[in-house]
Order: sequence, then structure tokens, then C-alpha cells
Amino acid sequence: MKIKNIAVAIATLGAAISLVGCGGSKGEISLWVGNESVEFYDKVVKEYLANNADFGYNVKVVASDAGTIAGSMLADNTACGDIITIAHDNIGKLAQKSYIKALTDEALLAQIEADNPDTYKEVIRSTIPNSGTTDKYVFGSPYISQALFLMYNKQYVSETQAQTFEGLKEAALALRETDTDKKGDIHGCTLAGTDGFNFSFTLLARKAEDNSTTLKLYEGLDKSNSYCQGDDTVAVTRWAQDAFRNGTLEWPNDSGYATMMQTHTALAVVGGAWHYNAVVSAIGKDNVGLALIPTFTLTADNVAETTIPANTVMRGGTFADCKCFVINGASDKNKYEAEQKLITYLSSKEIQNQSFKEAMNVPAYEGSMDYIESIKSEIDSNAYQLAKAQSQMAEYGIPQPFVTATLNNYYYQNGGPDLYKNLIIIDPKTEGDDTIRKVREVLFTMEYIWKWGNSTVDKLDIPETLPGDTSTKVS
Amino acid sequence: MSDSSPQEVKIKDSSIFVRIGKGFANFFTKSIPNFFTKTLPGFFVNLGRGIKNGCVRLVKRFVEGSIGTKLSHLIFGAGNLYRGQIIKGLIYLLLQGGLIALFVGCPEVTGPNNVKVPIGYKALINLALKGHEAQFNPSDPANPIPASSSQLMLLFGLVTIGLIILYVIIWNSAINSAVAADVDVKEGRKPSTFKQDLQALIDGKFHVLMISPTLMAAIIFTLLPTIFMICIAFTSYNDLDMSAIPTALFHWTGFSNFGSIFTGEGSLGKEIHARFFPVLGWTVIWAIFATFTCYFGGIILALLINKKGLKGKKAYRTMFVLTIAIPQFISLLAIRFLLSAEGPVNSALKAWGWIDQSISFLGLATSGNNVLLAKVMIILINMWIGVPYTMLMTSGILMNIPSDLYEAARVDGTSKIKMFFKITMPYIFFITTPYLISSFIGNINSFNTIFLLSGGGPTVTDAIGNAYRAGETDLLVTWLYKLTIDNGDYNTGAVIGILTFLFTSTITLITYRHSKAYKEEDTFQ
Amino acid sequence: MIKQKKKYASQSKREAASLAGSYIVLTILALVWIIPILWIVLSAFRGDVGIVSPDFIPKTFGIENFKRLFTGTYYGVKYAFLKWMLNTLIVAVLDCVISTFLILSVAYCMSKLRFKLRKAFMNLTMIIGLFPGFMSMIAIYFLLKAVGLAGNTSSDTAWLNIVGLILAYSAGAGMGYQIAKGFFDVIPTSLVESAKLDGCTNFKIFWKIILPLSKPIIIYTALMSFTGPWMDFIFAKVIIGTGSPEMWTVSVGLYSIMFGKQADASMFTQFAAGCVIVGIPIVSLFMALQNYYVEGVTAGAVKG
Repeated sequence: MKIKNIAVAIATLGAAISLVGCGGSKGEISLWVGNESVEFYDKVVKEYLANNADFGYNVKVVASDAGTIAGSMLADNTACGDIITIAHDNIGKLAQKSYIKALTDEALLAQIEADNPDTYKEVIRSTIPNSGTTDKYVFGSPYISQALFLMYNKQYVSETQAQTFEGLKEAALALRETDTDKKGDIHGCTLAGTDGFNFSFTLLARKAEDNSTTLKLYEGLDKSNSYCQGDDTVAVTRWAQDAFRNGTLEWPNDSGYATMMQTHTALAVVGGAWHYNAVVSAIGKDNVGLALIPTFTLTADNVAETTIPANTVMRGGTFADCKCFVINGASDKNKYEAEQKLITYLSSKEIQNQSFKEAMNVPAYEGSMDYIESIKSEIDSNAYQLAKAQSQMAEYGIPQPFVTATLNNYYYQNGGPDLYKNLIIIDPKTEGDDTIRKVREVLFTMEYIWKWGNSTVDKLDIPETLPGDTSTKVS
Repeated sequence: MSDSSPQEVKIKDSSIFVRIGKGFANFFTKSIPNFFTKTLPGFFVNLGRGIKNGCVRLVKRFVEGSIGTKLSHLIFGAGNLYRGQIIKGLIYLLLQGGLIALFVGCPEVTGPNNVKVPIGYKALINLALKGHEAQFNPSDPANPIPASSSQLMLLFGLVTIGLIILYVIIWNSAINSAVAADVDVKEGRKPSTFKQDLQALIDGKFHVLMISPTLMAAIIFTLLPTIFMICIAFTSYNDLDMSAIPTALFHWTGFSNFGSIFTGEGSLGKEIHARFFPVLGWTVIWAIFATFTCYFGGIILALLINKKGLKGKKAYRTMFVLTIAIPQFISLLAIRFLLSAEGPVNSALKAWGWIDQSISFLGLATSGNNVLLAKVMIILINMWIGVPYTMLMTSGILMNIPSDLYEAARVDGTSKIKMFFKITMPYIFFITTPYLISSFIGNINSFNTIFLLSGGGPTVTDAIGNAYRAGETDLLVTWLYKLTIDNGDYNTGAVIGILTFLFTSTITLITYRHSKAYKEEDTFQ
Repeated sequence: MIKQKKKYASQSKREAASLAGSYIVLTILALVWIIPILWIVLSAFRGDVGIVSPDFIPKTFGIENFKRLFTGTYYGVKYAFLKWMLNTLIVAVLDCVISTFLILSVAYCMSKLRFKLRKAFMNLTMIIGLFPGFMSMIAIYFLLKAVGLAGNTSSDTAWLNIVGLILAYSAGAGMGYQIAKGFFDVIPTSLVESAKLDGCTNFKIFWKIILPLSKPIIIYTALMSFTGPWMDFIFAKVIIGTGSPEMWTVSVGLYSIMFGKQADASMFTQFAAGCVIVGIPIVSLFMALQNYYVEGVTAGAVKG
């Protein structure tokens, strides 16, 4: 215990800390992008700074967790980047508390207006409370599009089988015959997660022939303009209940979807681009097939007591979201101009294209498929398939329509997704209620929650006769 | 142990179990009533007496003091300056000036969204939690006016109260110091010089020097945040509500959050109403099992390892101690993977043809979980972590058992088994009672095991199918984590936190009062 | 005589049998104890990089995971793992020095000195220690932030977050004085008394008499506070924040790689390699200092 030694040690460590903390003194803009593409944006930003000596700021590119970023912003946005990346559905939550700034730069607004599909333009705007105006302001600049699609194991599933859930089931049942060790543990398809986003493909399914559904979720961004009690939704739900029992679908277990793919407990998975790496790691790159979320045919049992004809072909739907750059409300006002310039550059078509080529981020702008087709020969075939599947899925999907904090809250935090999940899990041990009446009751409740939150849902009186209901109430 | 027939064991003295039983009985029949009939009233009587004596002393001090002392009541350090203790006097004066400047000047702290939150008298006004919402001026979009930050208003309001208390303490100390100087002069000594004061710090007042950093840290990093948390329990600080409205502000709501345990009112009232008692019940069961399985498991393991003639003691011990040395987020997660549906354990069981379907050991499957199995598994895995700890501890104690105890028994021809139950066990038990208590409390707040193994699952749903935040294996503390860190339901979390505290502190107060270590200290008088 | 001999013979036979039994039981238990750890190590040395595998023993072996771990870019930080290790080392060493000093000095005062408010202090520390820590984390975060020691994001101030973390870890450490106090209680008070008669100051008694006698408890306390930062993955993340991954401690980094909201399951083998690297220094410290650790644990058990 020599004091001198300790003192020397402390001094050395102190010096080490200050070395680690060394940095430039020029003003700095920190740019938060997804973990998977941080190297790409680091490179792009460096090029930008080299070409724009008058930009006036250093830019620090930081990797962030897109899933938790909104939470971090709400907790303390001064500890977050100046420009951050969020999924569009978080915009309302942050904008309405002034945690992010409206975009006003004309060049940027013009670019957003010109490049993006209408569906995106709709959901990146928000009104601002206490502003004395009901005008909507643009808060985010989309630069990556995200939708669910199918990744399957080519070893066991043929390209044709991957087109339909029936095909996936067929492949699974065939494998059960040959792989006697695993028997009942083989399933056609699993999901990448158990949350409302990941199983949205069932609830949001559409009629394949005309891409129609009676389901309405905050249409026109109006909270009361929601509907999920249509006969098609009922039939799809009945189909999902079956699918999770007959070997077609399986929930991801605690080993994770990737391990399930590896052990061929599941032959396919419905997931997003951010799950691709894990799937590749599980079954090898050459075995990964990419496709649209399959179609399925409603059986006579599924459509019983509804007006939907049997053998109607449905296509799994998806939430087709976009990731946006937004400006942190706590960012220094002097940086505002520069930040918007940087965003304009980073979300330009050219950079989006480059980002696709180098970091596999699927572009968000309208007509990006043309570019992808044009470089088809230059790129990895999987990257091409992935982009194609995703952008086609976007046509069958809707962006999560949560442009206000309230809608987001009502959809996610009030238990709606839970309700649906528990409806389609029919626990064999507890002999869950799988009658059509139960389905209608849950859908009725869910619609109520979408519209009004859940504070009074306990006292909700479910009417004797529900829309489209021909059966009598079972008590 | 292996060489005894079960019958033999049965006949053996069961004193240790009797002891435990008696302990529990005493706890309920004596300790708890004692606490409420004697300790608590005694505390209030003492408090009243203390206040009375304090007031008398205050007046006396003022009346009998010199002019400097009298002045010290208003201007800190005046008495010291009057007696020539210049540096000391100036330090007091500086402290007073600084605190008053802080109180009046109201310096501002930057909070979320660059909102400015004052310390000082304005912070006291802010304690009413009346703030304004965010404002946006369309003509100046770069500069939205952020909403007030209710949480920082509350936090720095409390900080200000703390500063006021600090002011009073310094005030008192300044007067005492002046009185001390008076006394020195009266008795013909020179008032202490600054150098002497400093020297006293490493000798007579050594404890002041040593304790104050820790005391300050305890107040700033533990006491203040704890009071903050207690206050939150009386507010509407709840992300569920605040994002639905949406608002950036929360306000005082009185006791309604506590009431919802019984009424089920409020946005999370349903959850807390339905889940509080089940979670509390499981927490207690868990704590009892976790404590005793690890305790007896550890003792048995220690006996096995320390068996006479056994070779490779150190090697064995090392293997067991690995679990203490490896961070739990690594080892527990390894176990979780091993036991997962596609993990090596299930794979092996399937390959051997013992099972067809994977067993959901930890209750993490989407459906069809066996809750009891999950609970048993968690307690068993907890042994994996806890047993080596007790093993090490009892190894040390085993070596220290006075050998004459055994000698006497050997002369009497007592069998080994009998010696174990008559001598070894009681001795260990006697020595480790405080450890048992603290390990019980530790297990009530055992976060890692549950969080990393089951994450609280399997989920529990209400009548219409909504999942509660608290699952079947959630303890109070993991529930608290889910409520606060995961979901931002701070007020409900705070209620759970306070109740957890009341629960553990009651047990601690009562049991420690009866433990040897604290009786010697006669702490609670 | 013969009877006696027989008795001894049967006794020694029985003892041999029981000893054999002990070997068997201990070996089985040791296997159970070692398997999860062994599995992590095996996964780390798996030849291919990727997700969790149902095979206990990998098909191929290699050190690719370690290579990637040390050269890889995580969360946009080049050589992130090395930086995280260095950060953790800095935090652990400073925390260890400050905490050990605070704990021992408080324990000494509580054990060997008598002063006003001593019992009040003991009660206070015991009672507030019983409050669950999660709620206070946000308050601690904002208090540290108010003085600029948390939530910094720009590259020239982010290191202050580490200072904040060290402060938060070590400042309150003194409250965990109980075990050391239990140890000091056993040191005869007469030693202190006689030193006082010789004119020693309290500081000198503490530094020159008590501490040299307390090697086991010093090492135990230092070991505990040194290993703490390597194991904490929640508090450290709150204080350092998501905005400066280059300042994370290694446990925060590893935990985020594997279990962040959008973590990539294919990182598993690299995660395992990271666990092995983190495990090595801690385990070897533990092993080397095992005897002191036992003494500390025993002191704690006896004194509570």
C-alpha cells in the first residue's frame, strides 16, 4: 500500500481518460443512424464534408438502436444526436411534445415532396399543439423503406411452395415424414417476433385478386375511422387460428427464429431486412430464398358463418414503414440550417441508391425499383430479391398510420396487439375458446381500443348481436 | 452422510429445525407486536423529548452567548471573527453568502429539450408542478419553446429543500463554533487556531473527515433520489397516460395511486389491483426457497468438499467458485440458451427419444407453459449461483469450529451423524443467522436471476386477453423494472417500490433487533 | 481385541466407500456447474461465426470469433471491444481505489470510534439501502447531468460520462461498510487504545496500525469493487447513455450486441468470445485471491 504507487496509477489513468476523450473543438453535429449502416454513412458524410468545406461543422456518426431511440428521446433528448433516425410512426409522439423540430428548408421540403410516395408524405406530417395553427408540418425525411417479407430455406421449400402458406405447410409435412427425429416440431413458417408489428401480416391480409380489405386503421388519420369487424377479417383470423395448429405457422420460441431456421423447426420466416443477416448465418447464404409474404386460401371452415366465399385467396399484408431523418428539438438553433442541408443530401435519391448498393438499405423514394432493376446484374442476387420482395410488399401494405401520439398509444400501449395475439394462439392445454363468437367479440373489443384506448374497456358491454354475426351469443 | 440409513437421521436431534421453527414463531408472536407496541411509540416519545430539549437549548444559547455569538445567529461566522478565528469565520460567511446567493439568484439547470429549470426560491414555487406545455411559433421553427419539465421541477425543488436544511445545519454549526470560542475565552484558553482545527480532523474529529464524503454521497445519490421516487408515487407521472393525451407535464394526485391497489382505478390500476398480491406472494415464496436451498445446499457441499481424506479439494472448489466470478449476465444467459426450445438440452432429450416436444423449462414459450416447472427451474438454477457462495462461507466456519467440542463428543462415543446435527449444524446456524437474514432480504430484491432467466414470463392476461406487465415469475423488483425502465410508468413503479421497501424494512428492523450483532450495538433505542 | 479390529476394518471400509461416494457426487455436481460455462467457451471457439447452435460441441473449431471481436466495428466504433475493455479497466481501477478507501475508512470509524450520530448514520445507511435502486436511477442521471457528468454526446465531452459513472459507483460505496466493519470489530480495541496513549492520531492508527493488519479485508473489498463494473449492464447504460457507444463499459457493449432491441442473432459467437475475454481477468483474480475472498465472505456472514 504505497501511496506513491497509487498516485502514479491514478495520474496515469487520468491521462488515459483525457486521451480517450480527446476531440476537435469545432462545432459538431452528431448524426444517429441504424447500427447496420453506420459505416456507410460515416463514409458518405466524410465525402460530403470534403466537398463542402464551408459546411462549418464536424459530423460525428453514431450507431443507434432504432427500436429504442424514441424512448431515449423522450427520456432526455439532450443526450441524443442532433439528427436522428426514427421509424415514421414515432414522429407524432415526439413532434407533439416539441422533442423534434419541423423541417422548413425549401430545398429539403421540395425534395421530400417530389421523391416520396403519397403514403409516406401523409405520415411524416404532424400538427403541432399550442402553435395557433392547425397546419401540418413536415418532421421527417424518409430514406429507408421497411416492410415484412418472406425468407425461406431453399433446401426444403421450392420456389412455388414459397408462394403460398399451403405450400409451406406441404413442405413442412413432407419433411416430417423423412425427418422422424423431429416429427411434430417442423413447421412451415415462423415470425421474427411476437409483437404487433411482426404478426401484422395476418390482421392486415388482403384479398389477392383486388388487393382489398374491409379493415380500416385510422384511415384519414382519424381515430374513429377504424374498423376490424369485417367478415374477411373474421375469416382471416379463423385461418390464423388454424395455421398455428396445423403446422403452417409457429411462434418463434425462446431460441429465436434464426435457430429455428437452422434446426429446420421452421422452414421460413416472415421478417424484415434487419433479420436477413441472422437468417443467412443460420442456413447459409445460398440456401436463403426471398419472396413476398405468401398467399393463403380460406377454407370452408374458415369462412363458415360469414359472407366470404370459400376458396377466396388472401395475401398476407404488412406495415410498410419508412425510416426518417429528423432534427432533435434540443439541437442548437444555430445548427438548424446546416442540419437541414445535411439531411437533404443524405436522403437524396443518389445517396439512397448508394446506401442500397453498399449497405442493403432499401430506398424509400417512389420508383426506386427502377434503379434496383437497372443494377440487377451488378448486385448480389439476394440483395436484389430482398429489395424486390420488399418494395412489392409495400404495395400490399400500409404505413403504420400513427401520426399522433394518441394513435400510437392507442394502438400499441393499450393491449390491442396482445388481444389479437392471444386470440390466434389457441392454447391446446387450456382449450381456448375458438368459436366464431369469441373471434367477433375480441375484434369488437380491439376496434374499441383502437378508437378509445383501454381505460373503460372493462366496462365495455359487448352487444348480443355483433356486425355480421348470425350466431347467437354463447355464454 | 452417505453411510447413514434414513431411519437414523430421523431419530437424530432435530434441534436446528426446531430452532428455525421457534425463530419463525417468535418472529410473529413477539417481534412484530413488540415493534408496534414498544419500538414505534418509544421512537415518538424520544422524538418529542428531543424537540423540547433542542428548543430549550436554542434559547439558552442565544441568551447566554457573547455579542459575537448573538450576531452569529444572523451572520454566520461573526462569533469566530469576533474571537479572532478569521479563516474559520470567513469560511462560514462564505458558505452563508453562497447559499443565499444560490437561493436568491436561482441558477438554472438544463434539462431535456433544453428546458431551463431553476434552483433556489423559484424551485420551491415549482414544487407545485404547475408548468406549461410546449409551444411552437410557426415563424421561428428552429426555436420551439420546450414544455416545462415536471420531473426536474420536482427534483430540483427537493434539491432546494436539501439546501435549506444544509443552511440550517451550517447555521447551527456556526453558532456552536461561536459558543465554543466563548467557552475557550471564558476558561482562559486561546480560541483554537485554524491549523489546530485542521489537525483535529485527522485525530479527534477523524470521523468527520472520513464519514462526510460517504454521508454526502449517501444524501445526494441515495437519499435524495429515494425521496424523489417517493414523491413520484403521488403524481401522475406515467407514460401511458402522458402519451395518450399527449402532455409533457404531470401533476400531484394524492394517494390515488396507492388506492388503485384496492380499487383498480386508473390506467394501471387494473394491473396493480390484479397482480400486486400474487407477485408479493411469489416474491416471498421465492425468497424463502432461494435462501434455504442455497443455504443448506452450500453447507452440504462444504461438508463434501472438506471431507477428511478427499483429494483435489482446491480443484473442486475452484470449479464451483467459477459461478461467482463470472458475470451473471453471461452465465445466466448461457443457461437460458442451454434450456431453450432448440437448445442443447432439449435437443439431447429429443435425440435420446425421451421427449417429442421441446420442454419450455423457463416458461418462455408463447403458449402451453408449465408455471410450476418454470418456478422450480428458476429456484434450481439460482442454487447454481448461490450454493458456491454459502459453500465458501461455511468452509471457513467449519475450519474454525473449536475442536474440543468434537473431542468431548468423541469421548462420549457419539456417532458422526449425531455430531453433525448436535455440534456442526447448530454452530454454523448460530454464526450465520445474520447472513440468513441479509440473504433473505437480498433474495427479495434479486433482480438478475429472474430478469436474465425468465424475464418474468410466462405472461398473465386479464379477462379480455390483455397481458399484464407482471408475469408469473416476476418479483416485485423485476416488475418495478418493467414498469419504470421499460414502460415509463413511473408513478405505479414508485408505488411498488415503496411497498417493497415497507416490506423489506419491516422484516429487517424486526429481525435485526433480535440478532446478536445489533443487540451489542443496541441500535434502535 | 479381535472384535475391535473387525470394527476398525469395517469402519475403514465404510469410510472408503463414503469417500468414493463423495468423489462421485462431487464430480457430477462439478460437471453440472461447469457445463454452462464450458458451453460459452466452446461456442467462442466455434469455427464458423453465427447464431446459437443446438450442438453442444461445435463441428469446427477456430479463433475467427476472437479475430472479429478485436478488429470489428460495433455500434460504429472502430475497435469497439478494445475501447470498451479499456474503459471498463479505467472505471474498475478508479472505482476500486476510491471505493476501497471509502469503505475501509467508514468501517474503521464505525468500528473503533465513538461519536455523536454514529448510530443514526448506521441506521440511515441500512434503511436507505433497502430501497430498490431502479427508481433512483433517473434522478441520479439528472443530478449528474446537472453538473455535466452524464448524457454528454459530443466527442470531446463524452468522456465526462465515464467520470460520472465512476463517481456514481464509488461515491456511495462507503455505505457498504458492514463487512469490513465486521472484520475490524475482531481486531482488539486494546491495540487502538495503547496507540492512543502513545500519542498517535486517529489517522495514524488507521493507516499504520489497522490497515497493515487488514490485508484480507482490503483485498476482499478491492476485489468486490473492481469486479462490479465488469458485471453491471443496466446502471452503466443509463449514466453513459446510448449517444456515446465509444464510452460504454464492456458489459453494456456485450449486452447491447446480443440483446439490444434490434440485436442481430448472428452475433452470438462473437458475444461468446467477448464473454470469455471478460471472464478471464475476473476469474483469474478470483482464483488468485480466493482465500481472501473466503475470509471476507466469512466476516460478512458472521457480522451481517
